[in-house]
Amino acid sequence: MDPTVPVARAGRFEAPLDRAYHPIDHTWVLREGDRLRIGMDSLGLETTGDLAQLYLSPAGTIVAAGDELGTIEAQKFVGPLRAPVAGTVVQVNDRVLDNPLLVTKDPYGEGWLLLIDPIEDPSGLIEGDAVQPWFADALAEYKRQGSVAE
Amino acid sequence: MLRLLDFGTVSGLRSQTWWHAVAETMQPGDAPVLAIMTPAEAYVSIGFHRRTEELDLAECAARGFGLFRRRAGGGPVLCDDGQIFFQLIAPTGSLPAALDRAWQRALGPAVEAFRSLGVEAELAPGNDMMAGDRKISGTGAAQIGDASAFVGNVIFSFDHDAMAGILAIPAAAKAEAARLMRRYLGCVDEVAGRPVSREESVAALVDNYAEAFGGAIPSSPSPAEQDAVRLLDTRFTDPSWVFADRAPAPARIKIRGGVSLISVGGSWVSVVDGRIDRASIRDADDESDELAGAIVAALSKGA
Repeated sequence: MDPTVPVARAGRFEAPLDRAYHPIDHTWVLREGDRLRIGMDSLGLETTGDLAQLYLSPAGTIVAAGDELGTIEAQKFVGPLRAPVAGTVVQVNDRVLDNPLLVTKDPYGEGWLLLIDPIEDPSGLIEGDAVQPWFADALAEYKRQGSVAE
Repeated sequence: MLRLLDFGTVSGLRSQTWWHAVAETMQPGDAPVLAIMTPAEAYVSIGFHRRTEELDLAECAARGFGLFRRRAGGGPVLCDDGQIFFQLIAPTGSLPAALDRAWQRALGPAVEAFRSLGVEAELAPGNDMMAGDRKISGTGAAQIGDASAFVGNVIFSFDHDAMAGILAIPAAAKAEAARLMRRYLGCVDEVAGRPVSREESVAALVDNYAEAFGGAIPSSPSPAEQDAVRLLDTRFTDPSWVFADRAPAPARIKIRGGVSLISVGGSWVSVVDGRIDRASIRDADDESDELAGAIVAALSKGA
């Protein structure tokens, strides 16, 4: 991640402001020309813990927003990785398939998951000035549940 | 308030598809479900991300074991009529977002059920249910649609040699795997120090889950669940589902958290709680790098 990029902060968690976030699934979307790079944000990963296994739909897969784009496994729990946008998978990060821990170690950099060629403009994502209050509220809610330690 | 679905004895296939059907059809706001069942015949269940090449498929066939892939995580396991399986299925939004807290919510009542049977049970890091240094329940979980399912079992008897036999490792490593299982897995009678009946175990599970979830109402599968289970019966026997290998095979066979067996070529190494317990090294020149890497990984990850 570019260290000059401004970030939203909530507690010990950061969310770079050069990208948009899915408010429920805690995935991020970074526009790179015509393509979108997809990853998971640090706060969502805190609730999951270290990933033990990871499956990502191969290049060429077409997904609608909300479709299962892959699956993650942590603590013997398998959960869906949902597509934050509709599009075609054009590249998968093979490094995270070999080493899923990379997603937790560097969620906004080398731990990215896929590149997507979008079919439509992303919608329903949080970006810009809206990231800081959303991120702070999300952390507060997790703390209220006891899902994130103080 | 829970819906209680006590299926009794069902086919091996249905011991998987029933709870997947309940999860698939669950809607946000629905009551959670406690499902309980015993498979009539032995079969092998493999975790969602795991590779069928981890299994000795010829041995599975020779023993007459079916093979089903579950949506839940974890490794290959042998399921049979010596075990009662239970599943807590709840709308995902009703459970804590943090996985470790969700596990505690979902399997805490099972821990209490074991305690009421006289077992000093606890939910250990890694979500193994333990009594002392023995794992007493195989656990796994999955988010399926709008629901999350947490599964476990009560083990009355276990064929350690058969479980080791279905693993795709050399005979000497299978023998070591069986030894580790005998040492570090525990049947309920052993850890309770007295005979425990199935009826007593089911009653303990129902009582403790009812207390934790505000009661339990005996129920039957809904029409939607019955429709779903028929579709799942087809999917779970379709080779494109069973043999869908999704991730690299782990470098070690996990017996329980902290105990694993590394098998590379003709060599094997047992790692127990951060130390090498036993080892048999052959052809070290060819295998040393892979073996060393797997040992370091096992030691650094607490096996």
